[in-house]
Amino acid sequence: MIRVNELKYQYPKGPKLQFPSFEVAAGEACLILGQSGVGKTTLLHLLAGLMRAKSGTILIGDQDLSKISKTAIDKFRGAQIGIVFQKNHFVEALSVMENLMLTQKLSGVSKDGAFANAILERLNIQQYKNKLTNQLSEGEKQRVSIARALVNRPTLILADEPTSALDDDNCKAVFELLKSQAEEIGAALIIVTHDGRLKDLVDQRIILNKDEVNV
Amino acid sequence: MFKVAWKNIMHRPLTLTLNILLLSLGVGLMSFLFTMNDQLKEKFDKNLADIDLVIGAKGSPLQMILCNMYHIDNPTGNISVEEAMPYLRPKNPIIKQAMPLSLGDSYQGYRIVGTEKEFIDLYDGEISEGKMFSYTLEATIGATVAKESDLKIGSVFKSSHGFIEDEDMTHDHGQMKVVGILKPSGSVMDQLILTPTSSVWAAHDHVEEVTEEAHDHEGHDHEGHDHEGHDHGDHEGHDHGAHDHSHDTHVHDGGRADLLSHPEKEITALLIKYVSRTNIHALNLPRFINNDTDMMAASPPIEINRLYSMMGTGTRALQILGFLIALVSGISIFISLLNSLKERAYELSLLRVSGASPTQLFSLVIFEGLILSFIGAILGLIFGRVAMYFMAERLGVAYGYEFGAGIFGLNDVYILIAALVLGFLASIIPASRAYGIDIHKVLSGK
Repeated sequence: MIRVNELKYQYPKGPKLQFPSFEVAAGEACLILGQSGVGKTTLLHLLAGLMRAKSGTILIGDQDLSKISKTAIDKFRGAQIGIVFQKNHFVEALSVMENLMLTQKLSGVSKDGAFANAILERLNIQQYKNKLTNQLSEGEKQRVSIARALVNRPTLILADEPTSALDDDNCKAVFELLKSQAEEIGAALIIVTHDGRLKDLVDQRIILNKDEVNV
Repeated sequence: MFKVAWKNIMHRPLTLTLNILLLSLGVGLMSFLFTMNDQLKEKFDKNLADIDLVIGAKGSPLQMILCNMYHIDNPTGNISVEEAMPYLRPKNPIIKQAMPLSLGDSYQGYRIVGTEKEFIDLYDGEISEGKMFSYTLEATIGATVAKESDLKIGSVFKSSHGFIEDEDMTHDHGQMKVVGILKPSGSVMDQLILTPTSSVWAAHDHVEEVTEEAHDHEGHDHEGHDHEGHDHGDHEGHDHGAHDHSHDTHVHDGGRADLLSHPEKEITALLIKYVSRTNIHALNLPRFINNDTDMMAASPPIEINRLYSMMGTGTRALQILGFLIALVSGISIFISLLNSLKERAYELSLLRVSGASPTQLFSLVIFEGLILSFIGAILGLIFGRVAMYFMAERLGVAYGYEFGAGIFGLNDVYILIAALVLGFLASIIPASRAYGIDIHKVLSGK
């Protein structure tokens, strides 16, 4: 579960942002919708612990992100938050499986090759596990990104514009995949996008309005 | 992180090849030079044999040392036994040992040295087969001579004038016989044919093969030899060494007494060991000989140090070149890592997102630099050895010693450490950039 309360952020020499408070339960899907430049990515990065809020709280499970030290935040993020980015980037020199195992190792969770294999099977990409990621198609790479986000059994899954470049059928298919996998492991799912096609598919919608966000 | 670094390096084979090639070139050159220098120095130092002084004909001191100690150059000339006599007498108070040498002849390119039996003690020599020479025209040959020439125990041969193999310069008389072969000593002696001084005289006295029985001089009558009509051949244009072109037909036994009984004869040089190196008379002896006699005295360590400093200029220049090549390779590693950071910024940011700490990213880039420099250094050390292996034969011909590829030693450890330090230094700035990467900025695409 994730709970966000009165979150504010100040850009260095830039505008101040204020985000609505919200809560997403385990297994639920929440859509954060807004136009380009409204602060969606900033909010996602705040939720991921990549940036520090000026004020407010972000509770992931029982842990307040603002209370975690700079040295501990990386390991916490690796273990508790799975992120699917817009661009599908991996460690190119490593195979699909090696990328997943590296994610487990870096976050400090116990190595679980069997679980990693199971995820690849569920995503129908198990046959590529020994291939280098640059040998895969974009669709296959996106599935690997999703697998990487799931491999540590995180409390929260964040997805940044996962469907923007896809047609309607694939958009729905990817969303269903994300939602089903999040439900499988009991994680809260938050999708940050400007793609309105997903608004009727989620459990919760948060619309970011420029006038409301910019203080 | 080391495993990731290794895979990252192997994933970019062109960058890997270029970087390690450059570094291995520099390291290989330095390793080759150090190995060659070490082996040369070892050979030269071994052949010093604790000799304190060399006395010979006036000329270049370095040439005299190189010729009489290392058997590389030509003799500076001859000295008479009469001139050398004071230093040959057994009761000389400042001289412990004086070894006469007579040079100027050779067989199949191997130098013949007229001397005394005790010569082999200078180089800790031992007999492998047969015996040490006892009589005129007997020869004991060095291990390399036995291995590479057609000489074996019982072989008979005639010497040639000079040090270069030339059938036209072969002596018509003075056929020598091999009676012994020495064990390999790792010294210049391996390349020499040793014989009594009298053999060298005999080759030019036109004495034919002398049997052991005929070596017994008790009651010998040597008068009445007829040497008319001898044709000495063309002796111009070569260095005669200790040749004696008189027609003295007396048969010599090669011992010290025999040597001293022929003051009119000539030798090439004396190798001197002092009783005490700090004796004031010993210290003054070289000056006395140089100023007040027609001979020249030179100290082997002093002349060899001069040679080292002359050679050192050349090898130092090459070492600097090797160092510069290695430095350029370090810059190349730096540029490769820095450029790869730009390409991999997103990848590195994702590693941070997955839980990697800034320190882990720092160590990742450092490991990449160290891996490149380690592989380059190891390859370079191997190249250096291979180069030494192929050059060994040429160096052997040039200097007359046996060279080998050599085993890895302390110098190579220093070179390896220096290469790793270079790799580390080349990686510091890129690693610092990785450490301070702004994840938010990179992932936002700014």
